[in-house]
Amino acid sequence: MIGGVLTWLVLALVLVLFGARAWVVETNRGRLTTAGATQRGLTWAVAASVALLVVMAMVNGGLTLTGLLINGEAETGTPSDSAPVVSQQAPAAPAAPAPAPAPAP
Amino acid sequence: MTSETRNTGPGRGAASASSTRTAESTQYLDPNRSASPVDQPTTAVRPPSPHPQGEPSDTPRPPTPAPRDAGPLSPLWVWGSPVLAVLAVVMLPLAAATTNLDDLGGWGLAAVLSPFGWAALVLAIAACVVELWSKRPRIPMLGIATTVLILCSFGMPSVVMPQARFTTAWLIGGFVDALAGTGVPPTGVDARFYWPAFFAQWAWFRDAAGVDNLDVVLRWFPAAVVAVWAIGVYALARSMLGGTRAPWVAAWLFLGLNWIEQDYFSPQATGIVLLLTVLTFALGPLATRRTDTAGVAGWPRPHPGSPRLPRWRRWLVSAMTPPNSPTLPPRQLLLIYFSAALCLLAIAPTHQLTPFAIIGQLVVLAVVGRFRGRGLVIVATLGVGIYILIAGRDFWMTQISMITGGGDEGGAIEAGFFERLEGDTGQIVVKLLRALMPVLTWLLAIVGAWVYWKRRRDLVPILLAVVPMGMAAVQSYGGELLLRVILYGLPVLTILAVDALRAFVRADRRREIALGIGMLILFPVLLLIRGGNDAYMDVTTEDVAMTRQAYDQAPPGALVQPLSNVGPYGLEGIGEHNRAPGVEGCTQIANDPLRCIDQMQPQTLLFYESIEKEGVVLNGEQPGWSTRIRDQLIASGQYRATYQNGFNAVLVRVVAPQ
Repeated sequence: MIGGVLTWLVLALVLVLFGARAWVVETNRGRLTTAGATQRGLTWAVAASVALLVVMAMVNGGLTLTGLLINGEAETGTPSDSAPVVSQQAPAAPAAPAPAPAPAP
Repeated sequence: MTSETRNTGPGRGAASASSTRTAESTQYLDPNRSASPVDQPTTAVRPPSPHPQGEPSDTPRPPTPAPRDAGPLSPLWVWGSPVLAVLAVVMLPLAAATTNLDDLGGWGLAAVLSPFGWAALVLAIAACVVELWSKRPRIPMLGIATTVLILCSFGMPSVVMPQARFTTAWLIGGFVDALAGTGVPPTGVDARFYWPAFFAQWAWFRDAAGVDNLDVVLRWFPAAVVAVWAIGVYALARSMLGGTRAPWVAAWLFLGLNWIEQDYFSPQATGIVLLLTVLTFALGPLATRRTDTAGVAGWPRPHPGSPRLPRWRRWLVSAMTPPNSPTLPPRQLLLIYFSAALCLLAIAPTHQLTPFAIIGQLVVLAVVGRFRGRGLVIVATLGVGIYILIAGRDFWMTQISMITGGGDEGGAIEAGFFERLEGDTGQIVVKLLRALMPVLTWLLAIVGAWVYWKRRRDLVPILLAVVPMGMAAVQSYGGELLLRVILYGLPVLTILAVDALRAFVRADRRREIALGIGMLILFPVLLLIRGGNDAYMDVTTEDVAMTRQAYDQAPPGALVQPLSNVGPYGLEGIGEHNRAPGVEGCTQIANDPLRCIDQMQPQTLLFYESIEKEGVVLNGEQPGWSTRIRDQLIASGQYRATYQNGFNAVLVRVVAPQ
């Protein structure tokens, strides 16, 4: 749970850094003075944050999913897009039906 | 030639000046500009300022040259299209009043549609064609004529039927109902709840509007969403084809070939809106093109006799040459990046397949250096990956077979075509026409790709259409996968097809008449194909009211099941009344009614007229088969009828489930 939240936070960080880098790159395009150092710094920051995100993703389920994909060891269910409704729980015991008046046609 | 309207930097200014001027001239609507045999494409950029850099902005602009043929148009061109469009709309209520839906059979809506409906469609087509043939086509009028065309084709079922057709649309309405109020998707019910953005969005709309159902939205959603798709295709075609008429033809051809019927109230319909938005950004305002300074751009050899440089050198030069920059101001570019990123992130929790289609298309464009902002590919990939990994954990832990295929090789093709090729004569003909349409589309598109290559030396569009086919690897997804693969490629395929048609009519302008006649054939065929299942996809107001009453009367948690999976049985009660025990061979009770009912013991059984018709036209049952089952159940003493009217009925279990 906490790992998942942290992964979402790192994704948010990646998006913010991507946005900041895009801002620096685009607003300095065509100027005589460019933001070379800032741009390089942000590029490294983006790369580092992406690497961190990949690590977080692998730790929080990525390795498990990879294992499942390679080994195919998983409890499988029916694809539900073609079979509209798939029950995965025992149905609740319904109460005895109460006689209902027939609706008007 | 979107990318040619770019700043090419000081080193390449002279080389690109002429092409830039040519492309910039296409920013203005001038139907008489036809010196070049090929219309130049336009871009979604602002017209360049006529002021040289450094010149004060208050310098008077040079006057825009008047069109050569500025004389008044004849009344036929001025009033023809509006009058035809109005007549088409006037015909619609008459069509609704005179179409007898009780006669729906294997040929579907086309067989019962009133002559007024057909007249409306013909008039709408005529409105489009007349305006396009005008010397000075008016963009607002073309927009209105296209809207009327959509209303008379895709909207025709909504006009003549009192409720939304299509079982799945009602089921998704039920998903929305399950989320409304609590905002929490039910678990263990349906895999689609792992991508709940669309359901949550409409649940929010529903709650905010203070209504308790979305029946009207369901009914008109197809026409509305197809109109948005058509706008996307028009914008794409403006970027890829240029010209003033070709983009409209592309939008109409897209409509005419779009029989796929994925426009019902569904996540994928919204996903395609987002996909088209991103693709339009990438091929329009963000488009670039690498300039190969080696003089030989790409493979195969573009010009006969030109010296062929070593491939490694061409790759090296291509890789080291930065793409041209868009001419947009930085803030506009940043706004487009933001919007595109937002769309890409929004697709991730909306639909299972659409993110992979757009990521694949963006990867193709990024690899060949055709759009600025390649970070969007990374953003989309990370967003989708993290969503599936974290939010979809329960899904892939339990349903990994949807990804790996589960040994069901060839399942999608089988389910998408061969398993559906059944039913009476009407059903078979309609289904064969459905198979024919993609073949026709691809043939036209391949010819168009050849024309495009001859004109632009560019193979990227056909690659964009091919990329979604890679998703066919997910065979276990089911038959609808094939439909979506076709749909994801359809916008680009139709644009290529229009390039072929344009080359066809340029050889002889009289061939435009043939295209007009082709449009008159295509749209009625579309109506036939799309309405082919309406015998059992039609939903009546009585069906809806009966179903709601059945759910109201069902005890909490009681199992409510339809005899067969058609009709609006899923409009509510998802997660509460649909947790059926898994019984082999009973995905729908009609497969083996008495055994399935005996083992599943549903508390309430729903019978619709559409179920009766499904059995007759699709499964070869004798008329009255559903009534016989109903009578048998009542005679057994297990069920009693709380509602009966014709083929519609609600049976409630008398014996308590064991």
